[in-house]
Amino acid sequence: MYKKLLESADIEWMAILPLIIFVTFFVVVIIRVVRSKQSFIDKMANLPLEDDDSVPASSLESDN
Amino acid sequence: MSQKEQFYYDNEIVRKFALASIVFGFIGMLVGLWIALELIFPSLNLNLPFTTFGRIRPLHTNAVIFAFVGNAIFAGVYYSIQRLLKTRLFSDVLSNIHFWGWQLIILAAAITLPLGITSSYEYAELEWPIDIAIAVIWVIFGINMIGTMIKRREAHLYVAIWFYIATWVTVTLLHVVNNLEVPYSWIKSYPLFAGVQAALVQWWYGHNAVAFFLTTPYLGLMYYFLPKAANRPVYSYRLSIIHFWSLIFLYIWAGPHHLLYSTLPDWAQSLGTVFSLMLIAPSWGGMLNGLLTLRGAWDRVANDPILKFMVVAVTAYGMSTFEGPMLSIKSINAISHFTDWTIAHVHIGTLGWNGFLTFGVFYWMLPRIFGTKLHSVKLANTHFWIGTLGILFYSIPLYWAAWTQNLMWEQFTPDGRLTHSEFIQTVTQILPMYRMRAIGATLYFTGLLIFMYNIFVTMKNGKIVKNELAEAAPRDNKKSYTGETAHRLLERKPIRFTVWALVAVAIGGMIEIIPMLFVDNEVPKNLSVEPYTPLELTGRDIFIREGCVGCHSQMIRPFRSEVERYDPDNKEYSKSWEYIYDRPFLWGSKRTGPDLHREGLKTTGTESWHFGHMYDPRSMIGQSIMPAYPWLYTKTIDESTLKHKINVLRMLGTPYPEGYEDIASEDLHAQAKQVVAALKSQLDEKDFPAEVDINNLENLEIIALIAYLKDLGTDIIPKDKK
Repeated sequence: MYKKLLESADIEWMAILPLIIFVTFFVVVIIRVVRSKQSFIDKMANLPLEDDDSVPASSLESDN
Repeated sequence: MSQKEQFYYDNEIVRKFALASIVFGFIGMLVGLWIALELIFPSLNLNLPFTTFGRIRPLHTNAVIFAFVGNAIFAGVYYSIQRLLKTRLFSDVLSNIHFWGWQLIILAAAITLPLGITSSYEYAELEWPIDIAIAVIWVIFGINMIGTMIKRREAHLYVAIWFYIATWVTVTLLHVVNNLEVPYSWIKSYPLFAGVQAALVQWWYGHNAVAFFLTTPYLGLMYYFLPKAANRPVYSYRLSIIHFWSLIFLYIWAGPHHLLYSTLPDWAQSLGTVFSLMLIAPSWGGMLNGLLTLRGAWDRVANDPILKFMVVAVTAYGMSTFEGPMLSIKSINAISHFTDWTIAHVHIGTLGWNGFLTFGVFYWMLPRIFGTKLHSVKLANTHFWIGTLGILFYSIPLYWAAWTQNLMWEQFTPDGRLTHSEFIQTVTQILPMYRMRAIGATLYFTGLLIFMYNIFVTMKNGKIVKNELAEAAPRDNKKSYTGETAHRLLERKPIRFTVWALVAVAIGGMIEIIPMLFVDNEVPKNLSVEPYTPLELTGRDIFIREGCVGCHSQMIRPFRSEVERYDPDNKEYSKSWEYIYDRPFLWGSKRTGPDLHREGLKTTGTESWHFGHMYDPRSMIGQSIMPAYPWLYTKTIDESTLKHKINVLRMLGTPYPEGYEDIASEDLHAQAKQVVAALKSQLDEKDFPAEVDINNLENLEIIALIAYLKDLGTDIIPKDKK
């Protein structure tokens, strides 16, 4: 039934387009990611740790 | 180096959302425990409509998803984006409108759902006025979040923020498309899509509600709070980028795996399966990234309950996201679908992933904004162990129950008959598992109480730092970024990023849904399909109000065991054309009771049988766990909106003739008289319950419900043979 459906609605491009989009997209993301500078990656990874918590570093020191 | 600026983080809004999350978590889980007990003790519905399973099951799911998890998302997002972007939130006013608006929506849900005001679509039960309110408040959240990004001091957006953006964009899209509906009264509506199309759109939504409400925002929280709690950066930031883009790209396609073996076209089912299987890759990439963040710190996990909660949460994420794709394989889905496997699966996700990550985040975050230490680490450890046991006791019995029940459904005797021909036989068999599940739920709930005590004492010991002083250098907008990669440019620009995230998710949605709009012409038409009569329509709306779809499917899959059980005379499974007038569609996702799609053809389903059964299910089926519906025997049919219903349905394509709305009431009463006549011919006067007004039978709601049940599945019989 799907073939009939695709033919009748002239949406064959829809079956191929996702494949092209995906492959292109993933290749681009992976190339970009692999090629990004280590210094930048390190900076980004450390972003959450930049602000010091104004309250005791460990909230687990005491136990009642 | 520029001069540092001083500013204040808004901790008050974080406290508000966190408290709301805890309070609604308590209520949502209490209701969950209650309905788990109702399945063992049906009389726990107290014979009241407002506390009956069908009505408060959506209350439970909505409360835990949108109130417990929803408020936790907002608390975590607002805490982390301020610190990641080194700025206060965009607007205190918007923050507060967001907070109070969201709580009002929850309140509206808590009132309307027990009243039976529901669209009946899972996780989208709320009716149109509330849908509009959700859209408004959600947009306010988006403005506040993106506004914060625009006024940030940090040049780059950390990966957690990408997950928040994707969450916002996708939930907006899903919510709007799935709630396209036409009101017929100030509180009720019929959906734009019917039957198969409605099913596809609903599960495109339903699956992505899991993906973009319960998963992506929590991944954002994981990428922020896990490094914080472990005090070390995420294992691989590169992996997190790939995790993000591949996850949001793939997730949006997976919805049709909820409709395998249904009447959805095969290509759409296969699409759902393929994309679900592919999802393992990014999901496990994310899980490993989380767990490997703890490399070299595993000794701390032994002593730190916060890390323990997070480790189990991430592990539960890994388990559910392995199990999900497996459940999308047709042969496995044939076993799992409609059984308690689904319930077990979602609870690994919600209790393990969402619940435990929330507890971990709150144990870490709340003492900090209260400028104090956690009251008791010991109690947090106790909570961890009792909660973990709770998850195990909750899920393992249900997996067992699912396999047992499915095997019983499918078992044939050597001479080709169903071994367990009565559905109830398969229910009583798994009742012990339901009892164990209730024990698991109680354990988890006990853990929650310990958590609440610990957190409230911690809050009492400290004092909220409403505005927390911080300082950072202003962002240098003029700085040259020549030579930066496209992706770096992209993540410096939040609005552009938002648009691209929308494009990424919209492609999947479009390609999945647009062909379905053509299906309207492709569904084989069958002249024997008739629109619901006014009485049947009224009965159907009562069926919806009472949440019957929570336990009874209307989708007979093309299996020998199913056609044999549900349509022994004609052996017909469900066909897509049978649903063309179904607004909303009522396929259901769980069979706590039998499928009803051929109920109208059943020889047992006489008027008097339904009459006695709905009044006291155990008078008909001794071990039934169905609640009683005595109020249907005193409430009279509400005809006030009948005209509007007919008009709206005609507008949407149901072929009621022009002017039919004026005579619909006459038709309703004529048919009601027929049902009553049949009923009286089957019952003696003394058989009617004392509170039933025999002279007023034709106006009672139960008559409409019986008329609807008697119509179910009858369209499969050609007109001339009816």
